[in-house]
Amino acid sequence: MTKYLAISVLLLFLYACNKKEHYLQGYDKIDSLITTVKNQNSYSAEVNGMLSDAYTLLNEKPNDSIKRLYMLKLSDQYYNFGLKDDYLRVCKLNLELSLKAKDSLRLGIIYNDIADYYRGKSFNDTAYIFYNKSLHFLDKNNFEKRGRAILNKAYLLRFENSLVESEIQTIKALEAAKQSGNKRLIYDCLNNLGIINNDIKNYDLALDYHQQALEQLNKLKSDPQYFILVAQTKNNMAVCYHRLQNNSKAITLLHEATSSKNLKNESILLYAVLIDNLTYYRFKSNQEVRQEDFDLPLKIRDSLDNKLGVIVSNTRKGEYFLSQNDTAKSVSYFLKAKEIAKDIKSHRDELLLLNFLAEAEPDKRLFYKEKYIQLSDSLMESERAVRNKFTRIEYETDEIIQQKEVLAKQQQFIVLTSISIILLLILTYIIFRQKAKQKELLLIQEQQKSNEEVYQLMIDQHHKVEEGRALEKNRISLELHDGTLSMLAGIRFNLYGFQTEENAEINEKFLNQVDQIKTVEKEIRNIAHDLKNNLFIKKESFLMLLNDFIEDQKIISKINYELQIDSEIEWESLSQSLKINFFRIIQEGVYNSQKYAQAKNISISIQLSKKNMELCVKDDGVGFNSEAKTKGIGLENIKQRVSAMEGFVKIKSINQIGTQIICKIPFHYEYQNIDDR
Amino acid sequence: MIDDHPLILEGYKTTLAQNKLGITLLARTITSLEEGYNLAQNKAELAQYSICFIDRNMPPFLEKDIENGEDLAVLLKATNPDLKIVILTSHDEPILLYELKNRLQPEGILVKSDLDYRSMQDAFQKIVDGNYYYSQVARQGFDTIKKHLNIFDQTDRKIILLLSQGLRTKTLPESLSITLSAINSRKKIIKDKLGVPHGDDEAIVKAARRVGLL
Repeated sequence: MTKYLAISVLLLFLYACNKKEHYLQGYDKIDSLITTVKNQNSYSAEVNGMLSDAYTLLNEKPNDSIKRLYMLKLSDQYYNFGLKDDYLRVCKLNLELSLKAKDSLRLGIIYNDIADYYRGKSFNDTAYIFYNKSLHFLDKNNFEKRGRAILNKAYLLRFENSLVESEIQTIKALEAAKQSGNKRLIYDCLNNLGIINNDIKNYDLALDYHQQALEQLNKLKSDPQYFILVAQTKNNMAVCYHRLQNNSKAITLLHEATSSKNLKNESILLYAVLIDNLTYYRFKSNQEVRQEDFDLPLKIRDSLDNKLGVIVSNTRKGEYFLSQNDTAKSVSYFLKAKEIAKDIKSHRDELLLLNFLAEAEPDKRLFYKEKYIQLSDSLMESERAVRNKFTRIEYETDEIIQQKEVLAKQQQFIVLTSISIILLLILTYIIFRQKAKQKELLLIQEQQKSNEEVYQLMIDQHHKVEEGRALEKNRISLELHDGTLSMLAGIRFNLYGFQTEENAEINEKFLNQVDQIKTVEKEIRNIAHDLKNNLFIKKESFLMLLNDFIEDQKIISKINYELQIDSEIEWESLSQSLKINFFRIIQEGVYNSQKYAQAKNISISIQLSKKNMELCVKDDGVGFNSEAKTKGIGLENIKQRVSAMEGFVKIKSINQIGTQIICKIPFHYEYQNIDDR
Repeated sequence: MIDDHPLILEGYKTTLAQNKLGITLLARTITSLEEGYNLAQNKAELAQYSICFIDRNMPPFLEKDIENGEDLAVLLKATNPDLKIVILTSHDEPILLYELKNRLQPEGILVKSDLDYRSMQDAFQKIVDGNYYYSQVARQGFDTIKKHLNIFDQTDRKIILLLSQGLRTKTLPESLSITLSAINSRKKIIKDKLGVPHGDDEAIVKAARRVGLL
């Protein structure tokens, strides 16, 4: 048994697998294409071909969750190979599909991807909007993704110089990161906090954050970027120390950072920064530096098109020449840097350079100062504008959410209101019906009561008649007993006085006659007794009533009546209303037979069965059409009465043969206090 | 001699005048209970009489709550304890006769149905001699009652008697001074004893008559 079961389970499993495989068959090729691309190290025409093949295949599939999953995988590959525009195209298509399918979980990820794209393109405000959307859809418990998105927002804010807001977002991101347990994310947050605090000149706090970041790095030794990150953090700390005028400490840190062997290979840019900073700090602490020391990082930065870095390098070179009193060279470097700064709208650098220029060319000082003020004003304005913009984006997103909530609340309100109105209506209906029923019930009760009263009246009438009769009988009985009898006895006694001793024969005859009087006396006494015995009023008034009715009918019509009543029926225990109903039905039936049927015989029977009382009024008259729609009020009355007793009535009529009214009433003996006399 | 029918009184007188003891009768005839009541109040006159014949059934003298001859007999006996009482009645129901005997302990009970010249003479003789005389019907009745003495007590017998007179159960408590529910439970027992457990009052009376109680 278990064996079979095991086999069948196995078969089922195989079947399920087959089915799944069949379903996934179309994705086989896409899967293999993407996997192959993943393993390629560098971009080539082959890779491009495979990716576009996969894209075409995927496009043919119906919109389901697997398609969307592969879309994500495909877009990841585009991203990895730096095909940003293709990446955006796939992401937007996937967004469309997910919106159609209302796949909110995936929507969060796709919005995040698109935001990443815009961030890479430095469309900071657009990226910010998409991060907000992403956060709206992302799973509340997906702390890692949420944390990353928030941190990205913080980066955007920092780039736009909204440092305080950026700090707030970073702290939020840090909370999420700690909950997710992603160590790299925690490090990134701490690092960002360090940089922000450095920028807002909160150097001690910045150093503290960087120290924490460094500690966090101890847990990240397996990270491929470990060495880069360590160098980066040390550099950041060095910057802080420099700002705190502790150049020796900064230099020590930078020496540590540059000691890493592979740094030059892994991140040439960071290497350039380190070298540049090191040179500059040494220059600032009046150590011996050569012009060429500044050239190497500038060259590297130039080759990487790192404009911010180029500005810094040029500025520092200008400073160097200024210290060598070579004003012309110094000014040219400053102007070059200023040009680039203006180009990339790095206003802070521009301001700094204007200061330097004013220092380098004292005769043009006023001109530069004026420009400085102008720029700083516009900078402040633009900063404010940026802050406002981001606040607005945040607010608008909030507003959309709020509007949704309001809408949802409104919907809820409408639903609740309509439900309560419906309930109210139902309730009103029920109450209304209940009242109607109550009225009906009261009416029925009243009718029954009046029925019983009528019956009682009839019975009382009968009792009075009977009582009168009884009284009369009693009077006669007493008269006979006490009057007539006593008189006779007296006469008899008196007669004894006339007996004679003389003629024995006559005396004998005389005494005989006197004894005869005694016999008469006995007779009269018996009559008196019998009269008294009849004093008991016939107990069952209903039968009496019925008998009387039939007797009356016999007198007024020439019809033969037959009355059969089951002697088992205990009339006294039946309710008055039942009896009056029976009586009325019989009356109605008999009247009908008399008036319309020209009947010769009418038989009435009341029989008892197990559950029912059966009342039958039958005649042998002409009959009527029992199918006729309009029935006389008499028959209608009968029906009403029967239904009041929860019984049913059958009226059968056959032309020229007769009519039969059969009523069946389920009887329940209702206990009544019987007047026992 | 007390009877509401003067004619009967005449008959009694005639009969007793022909007594064989040779006693000369000094008789007063009274025809109503009121007159009888007045006699009962007159001790001096009452002392002259030694025997009183009273008809049980006479129109009641309600003023003094005297309903029948029985009640008057009680009063007479109270006034003159030596007076011998002879009750004449046209009732022959054994219960009634038995109750009568119990109540008054009369010297004689004469039931009119078997009363004739000879029995009247006999009764007179016996009573004058200081004996008791109960007529044949009465004696038979007493025997029947004695047979049922253990079965029906006095209250039961009274209930049966009253029912036979056509009284309703409702009105019985007035004459018996017990509650209606007590009467109903007694009636139930009576019905059982008479073998008519589901019968009505009529059935009780009929059954009682059958066994000779009435």
